[in-house]
Amino acid sequence: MIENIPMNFMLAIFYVVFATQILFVSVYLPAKTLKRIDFVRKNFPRETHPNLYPEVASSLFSNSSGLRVVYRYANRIIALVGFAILVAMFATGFEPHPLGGSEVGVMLYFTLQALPIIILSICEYEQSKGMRLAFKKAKRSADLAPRRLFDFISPAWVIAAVIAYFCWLGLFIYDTNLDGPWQTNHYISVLIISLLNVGYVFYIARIALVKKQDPFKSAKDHNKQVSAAVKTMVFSSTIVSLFSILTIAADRYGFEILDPVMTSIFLQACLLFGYNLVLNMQPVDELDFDVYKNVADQPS
Amino acid sequence: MKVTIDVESEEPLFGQLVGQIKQAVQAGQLVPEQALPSIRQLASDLSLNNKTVAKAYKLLERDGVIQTKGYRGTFVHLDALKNCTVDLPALVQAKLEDAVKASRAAGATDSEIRIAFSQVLQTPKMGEIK
Repeated sequence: MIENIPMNFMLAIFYVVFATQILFVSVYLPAKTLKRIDFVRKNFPRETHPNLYPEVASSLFSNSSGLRVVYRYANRIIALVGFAILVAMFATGFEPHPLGGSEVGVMLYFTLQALPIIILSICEYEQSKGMRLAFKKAKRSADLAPRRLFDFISPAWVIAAVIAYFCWLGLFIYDTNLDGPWQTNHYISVLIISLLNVGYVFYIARIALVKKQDPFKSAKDHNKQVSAAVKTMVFSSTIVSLFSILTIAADRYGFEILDPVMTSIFLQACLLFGYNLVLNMQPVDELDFDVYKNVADQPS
Repeated sequence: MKVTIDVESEEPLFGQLVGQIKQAVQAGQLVPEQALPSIRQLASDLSLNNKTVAKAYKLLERDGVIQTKGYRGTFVHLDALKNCTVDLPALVQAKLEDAVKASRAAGATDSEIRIAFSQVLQTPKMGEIK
C-alpha cells in the first residue's frame, strides 16, 4: 500500500510536519511564554509584589538576570538552525530511509529545541524553592480535604491511558513472539515504557497531588496547577502508548519511511498536551497575584 | 472546611491543628467517615514539618476523633463527635488529684509525692507521645 504513495507526496508531508515542529516548539510556544512573562513583569513588579521575586533564586522575572534574553534568542537561533536544516534537506534531495532510522535526526533536533524549556523549568523550580525558603507568613490556611485523582481528571481519560498501555504491551508481546525468541532489546523496550508509566504514577501520587511548590499560591490557583499536571501526565502516558503501537505497526507493515513524520507528530503532541496545556489551563490574567504582595498590602 | 494556623501563636502548632479539627467535628463541619488530607499534603499546604502534622493526627487518633484506614487514608471516626467531648487533660487531672489525696491521707509528704510522680513519669512506655 505504502509503495503506491508517490515519494514526493511523502516528502511534502515530512517537510510540512518538520516545519510545524520548528514553528510550534521554537516560535509559537516561546512567544506565548514570553508574553506571559512580560505580562507579569509589567503588571506585578518587584516593588508591589516582592514575594514573587525571592532573593535566593535566579528568578526568570528578574530584570538583571538576563535569562529572559537568553531564552528569547536561544529559541530564535534554534528556529533558524531548524529552517537551515530544512533548506539543506530540500537542496540535497533528502529522502527518509525506507527501513527507518531517519527519525533520529528529528529527535536530535527536538532535544535541541527542548533545551530552553529545560532551562525555564529549572528556573521555575529555583523560584519555587526560593519562595518556600522566604515564606514567613504567620497565618497559614489549608483545605481539610484530600486531593484525589478524579477530582482533577475524568476517570475515562485514566482508563483510556491504562487501556492504551495494555494494548501496547499485548501487541508488543504478540509481535515479538512472531519473530522468534526475545532479545535483550525487547526486554529493555518493555522496561522503559513500563518504568515511564510508573514514573507518571509516582509523579501524580507523590508530587502533583501532595506537594505545594509555591507556598503563596491561592488554593484555587493551586488546584488549577494540580489539574494541569495530572492531565499532562495522563495524556503523555496515552500518547507514548499510542506512538509505540504505531511504531510496531510501521515495522510490521513496512512503512518505516514514515517514522520521521510519526516521531515529529509524537513529540509535538507531547508538548501540545504537556507544556501548552499547562499554559492554557492557567491563564495568567486569571491568576491571583495579590498573594505575592506584602502581608500588609494584601486584601483581608 | 479550612484550617488556619498561626506560627507566631504561643499555642503549639500541633495543638492548634488538634483544637481546630475537634471544633470542626463539634460544629458538624466534619462528619463521620469524611476523608481528611494526608499528613504530607496538609504539611505541604501549611508549609509545616511532616512531624508536626503527624503528631496532631496521632493525638486525634488516640482520642478517637480520626482513624487511619491503611492505604485508603485518614477519616473522621464514626464516634468522633462523642469522643471530642472527652477532655483528656481534665480527666488526667482528676485522676491525679485522687492519687494525691490518697497519698496525703496515707501520710506522704508533698516532696515524696513529687519524687514518686517524676519516677513514675520516667518509666518507659511503648508508643509514648513525647
